[in-house]
Amino acid sequence: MKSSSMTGSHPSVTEMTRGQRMRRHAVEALIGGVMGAGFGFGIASFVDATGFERWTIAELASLGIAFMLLFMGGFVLVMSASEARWRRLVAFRQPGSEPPDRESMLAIRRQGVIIALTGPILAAPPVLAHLGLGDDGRAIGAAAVLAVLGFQTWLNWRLYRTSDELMRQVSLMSGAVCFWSAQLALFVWATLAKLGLVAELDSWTLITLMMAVYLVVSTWIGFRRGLGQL
Amino acid sequence: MNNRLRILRAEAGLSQGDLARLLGVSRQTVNAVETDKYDPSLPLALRMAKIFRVAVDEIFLDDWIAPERD
Repeated sequence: MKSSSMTGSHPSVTEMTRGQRMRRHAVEALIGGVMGAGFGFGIASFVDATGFERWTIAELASLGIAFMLLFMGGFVLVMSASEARWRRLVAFRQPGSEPPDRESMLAIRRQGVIIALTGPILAAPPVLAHLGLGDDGRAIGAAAVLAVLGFQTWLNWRLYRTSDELMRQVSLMSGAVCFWSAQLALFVWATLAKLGLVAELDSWTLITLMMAVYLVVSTWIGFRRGLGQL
Repeated sequence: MNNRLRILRAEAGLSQGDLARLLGVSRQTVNAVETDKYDPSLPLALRMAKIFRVAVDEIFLDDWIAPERD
């Protein structure tokens, strides 16, 4: 069994004291806070420049989800770009656990690309819609989004095909829970809308809600099934 | 469902990664089974039994008792 201390010249993170671990968490929080604030300010500036009052809550929420996914995917890709770096992360988060093998690293990187691509795919439609583009510009934007979506769907399919039974079960359970919960919620809302008690929902609100539900459900099921282990 | 996979693996001197490679699954799956977060499929349970040369119910412990038939 390989030890987490076999990470080259870096100190063994499994032997960190409580104080050292707390300092490391504080540095991570500081870096994350500064980057988050920077991106948040950038998004807010863009929204303000394009007319804040023209943005719907769903569009703003989808931007928030998109940038969260972009950061998550980017973090996974940066950390997993180096096997030694990923092993240090595993040793820090889960002292005593075994480092991932080569196949796991490939799957982790694929997941990183998929998560990171979801961000721009989700952010692009509302952003493009508020840029004031002409028909041609919007058509080119739509084609670009669909091309990236096609590539991401192919990657998802590849990941599913090469996954083992645990990963597939988590995917299938997440899909099933999302379907039943979305169907229930949509039926209730449609009933109320049909009776004139609530407003009709537009398609962007529906897809934003669907993404939010899927993220919560898949994370919850993944952790319950042990996929939270690096 | 409780299981003795971690004990059997340790007795065999295998790491989670070693066992995962033998079974054709990810290390996360072996870890999830050992920590009772995931019950494997029947084919995977049978493969585990073959690797450790024990019966499936010597790996997975089920305290259910069959009701008596009339």
